[in-house]
Amino acid sequence: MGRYRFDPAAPVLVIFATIQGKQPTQRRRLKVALDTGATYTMIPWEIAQALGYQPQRSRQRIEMMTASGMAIVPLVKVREFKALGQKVKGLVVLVHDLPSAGRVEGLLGLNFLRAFKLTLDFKQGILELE
Amino acid sequence: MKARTALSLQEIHRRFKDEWVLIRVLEEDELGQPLTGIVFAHSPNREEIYTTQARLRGDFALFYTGEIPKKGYAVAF
Repeated sequence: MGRYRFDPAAPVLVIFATIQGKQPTQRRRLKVALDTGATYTMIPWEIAQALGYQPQRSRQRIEMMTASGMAIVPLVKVREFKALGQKVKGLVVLVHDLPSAGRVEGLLGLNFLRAFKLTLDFKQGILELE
Repeated sequence: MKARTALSLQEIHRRFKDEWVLIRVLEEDELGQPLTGIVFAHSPNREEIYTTQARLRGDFALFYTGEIPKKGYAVAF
C-alpha cells in the first residue's frame, strides 16, 4: 500500500510518477497532478519520445476537451507506469503537453487509479493507494 | 571537468529555487519519489530541460522546484 502525506490546503495534489521506457533502463520521473476528473493519465510529448515511444505514429487518437478547446491527441501504451508505490503495466496514456505555467508535467488520471483502492483523507492529509 | 555532486531533493529545491531541474536519480523512497540525485540541468525555461533530457539514457527526474501553481493562480486541467 502506498501512503502519502499531503497538504490538504494545497491547490493541486502533486506527486511523482515514474514512466518506464521501451528499454527497461530508460525511465523518467515527473511531477503529475492527481486528477480524478481526467479519463486518462497524461504525459508530455518530449518525454514520451525520449522514452522510445512514438506518439506521432500512434494510430490510436482521441478527441480531448481541454480548457482552450478540443484537441485530437495520440495515445501510447507505456511499458510500466508507477505512482504512489503502485504500478500498472501496459498503461495507455495520452500524450499532450500541459502549459508550463501549470508547473506540473502530466496527470494521474482514472485509467491508472481505477486499478486500486484510492482513499483521500482531507482531514488528516493522507492519501492511500492499495 | 567539474564533478557533479549528489544532492538531496530538499537541497535541490533550495539551490535551484523556482527553476525546472533535471536530475539523475540515485535514491528513491518507498513510493518511488526521488530522494537524492545529480543535477544535470536547471533552467527557468522548461523547454531547455526537455531538450537536454532527450539525449540522456537512464533514470532521470524533471520537475519544477517552486510553488505549484504560481502563487495567486488556480488550475483546472
